[in-house]
Amino acid sequence: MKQQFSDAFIAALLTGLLTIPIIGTQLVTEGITLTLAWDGWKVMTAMAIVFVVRLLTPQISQAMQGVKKASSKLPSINFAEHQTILITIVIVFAFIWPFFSSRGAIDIATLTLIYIMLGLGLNIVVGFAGLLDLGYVAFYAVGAYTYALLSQYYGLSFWVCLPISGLLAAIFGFLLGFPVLRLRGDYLAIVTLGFGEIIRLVLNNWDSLTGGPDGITSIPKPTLFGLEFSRRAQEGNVPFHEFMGIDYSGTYKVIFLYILALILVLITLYVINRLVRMPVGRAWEALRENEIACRSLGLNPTIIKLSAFTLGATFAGFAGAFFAARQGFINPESFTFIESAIILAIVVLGGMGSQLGVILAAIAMTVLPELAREFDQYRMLIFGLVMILMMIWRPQGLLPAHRPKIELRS
Amino acid sequence: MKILLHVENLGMRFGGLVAVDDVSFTMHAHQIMAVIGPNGAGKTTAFNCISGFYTPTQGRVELSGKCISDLPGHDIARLGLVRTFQNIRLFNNMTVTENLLVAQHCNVNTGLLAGLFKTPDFRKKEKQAMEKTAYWLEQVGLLEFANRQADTLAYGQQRRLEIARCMVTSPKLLLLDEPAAGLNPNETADLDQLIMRLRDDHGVSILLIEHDMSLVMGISDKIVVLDQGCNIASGTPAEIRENPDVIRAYLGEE
Repeated sequence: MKQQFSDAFIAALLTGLLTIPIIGTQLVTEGITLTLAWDGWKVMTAMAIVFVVRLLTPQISQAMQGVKKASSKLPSINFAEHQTILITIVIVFAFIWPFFSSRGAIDIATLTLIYIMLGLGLNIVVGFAGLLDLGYVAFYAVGAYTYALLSQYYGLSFWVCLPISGLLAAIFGFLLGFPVLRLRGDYLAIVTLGFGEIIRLVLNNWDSLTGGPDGITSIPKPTLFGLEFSRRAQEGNVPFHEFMGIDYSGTYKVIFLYILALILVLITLYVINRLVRMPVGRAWEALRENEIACRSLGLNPTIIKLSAFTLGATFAGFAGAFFAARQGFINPESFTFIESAIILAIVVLGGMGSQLGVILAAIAMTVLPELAREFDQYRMLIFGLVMILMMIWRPQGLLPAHRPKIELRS
Repeated sequence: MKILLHVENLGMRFGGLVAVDDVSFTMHAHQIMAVIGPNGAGKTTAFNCISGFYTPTQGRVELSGKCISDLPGHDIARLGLVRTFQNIRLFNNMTVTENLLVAQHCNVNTGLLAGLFKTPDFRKKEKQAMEKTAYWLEQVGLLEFANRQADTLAYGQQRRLEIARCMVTSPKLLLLDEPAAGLNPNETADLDQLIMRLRDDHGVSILLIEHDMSLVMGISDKIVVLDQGCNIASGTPAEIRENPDVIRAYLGEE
């Protein structure tokens, strides 16, 4: 008991040290001067909470034992029987839903879809091939800037640029992958992290091409077979609402973007679902399990890893081009490390290699912060807490991966 | 007879440690050859050099007349020299079938678009791979476990699966690193039969490291003895049994 008490005391003291700069002090503007306001109560509360929790840890963990047993029995949803019907219902619902929803909600849904696409792309690299990539956002940036620059300098349309963005991101993935894939684990993570930063810094400093921190503005929105969604179309073009003979509404554009994102996500899902059942998908899995055995059977590890890296980057490229088109404005601020971290968190939270898990995690990571806007200040705090709790209670992710097994039928 | 594998003055040193020193031997097609020697004699190191997992520091290895000593392991495997491992290396979380499918990676259609759209050629190759899988599972007696996860198999079955996984690559030369380690006498007898069948029915040459002397003496056409990295003797089982150097290496000085 004494041991426990001193342990709790030290933990509370540490909490105090850590929380003083974070929540104990606050910058307050008074006119033109900045003053440091001191709020001891919050620190005291935090210390008290930690002290009590720490003191009662053995009791809590004892009580949790029952919960733990139950959670390990959580069904990893088996919906194989009604799979086709369920998927069809979900897809149809996803297409119809925006027509009965608010503009804000559709907007958030579109953002979620972008993150789903990024999560699915990174899932190839991290989940399937087992390569920790901390600079994934670089390929996202490459895709976004490809579209933005090509449309600014050459006036190319979104539909022409979309494949180019994917291709260019793939080339960057290939170029980065080539030298670094002989590295493993932590080393690979550090190099990819560096690469992500290099891309961002280049975009930030190459003023003459990218506009530096000012970014690129008025990137055109995608068109529907040449129909624009603006109130007045550019010369020679017809706006969508005039063509359809309906009144102008900004919502059409939002719905259109949402559906476009949805289609992109569905294509991504289809491609990835095929990939895991293809020889290359099997090779990723095998390589993750035993690289030496792979080599002894004639599989070239470098090429297999490279294919994962390149394909993962391609999807980031597509997502980037769409992101640029949706925002209409991009600057390097959108492609910071935290973005990579969020995408990685989506993959880890969802369950590495699990596609449904990644989708759920992407929804949770984008929708929840929107719903809890009041707690904006504590966002990162909650984020960290959720991560820790997940690692304790469900390290395999929300929905652990169930790889499709190939069966031998007699 | 055709020379299949030719090892010449093979040497491997790790810093100051000489693990394999000046080992030479020649192996003909359709032979079963054994490498024996006390623990730490450098047998596995020699295997690693031959199969490309180490780059030998000295000497050369030729497979059917082609120098392979500076090729990486996966290229050597594609030339028809595949191996098993002393500590079994299966893809544990994959099924038995999938283990054999991965091994056929070089023979299936790995084209991205072919796979995405399931072209006729893709389906055909996948089907062939499946058939070959079924055939080899039957050969090693694992057909009933086809859809089990590899690490749920018993130890002896895992050993056989590893051999089957090598065989689906249609090798010319199979290197077995202690295939009988951890097997009971019955299983060892089965393995004996299997190795003979691989040679007689499927035309594969086999080079194996083994400590089980009855197995080695029973099936080998030729034996190479290593001791402290050096090749101290080679010859037929009868010659090796009589060789005083070999007896000394195994039993120690009088």
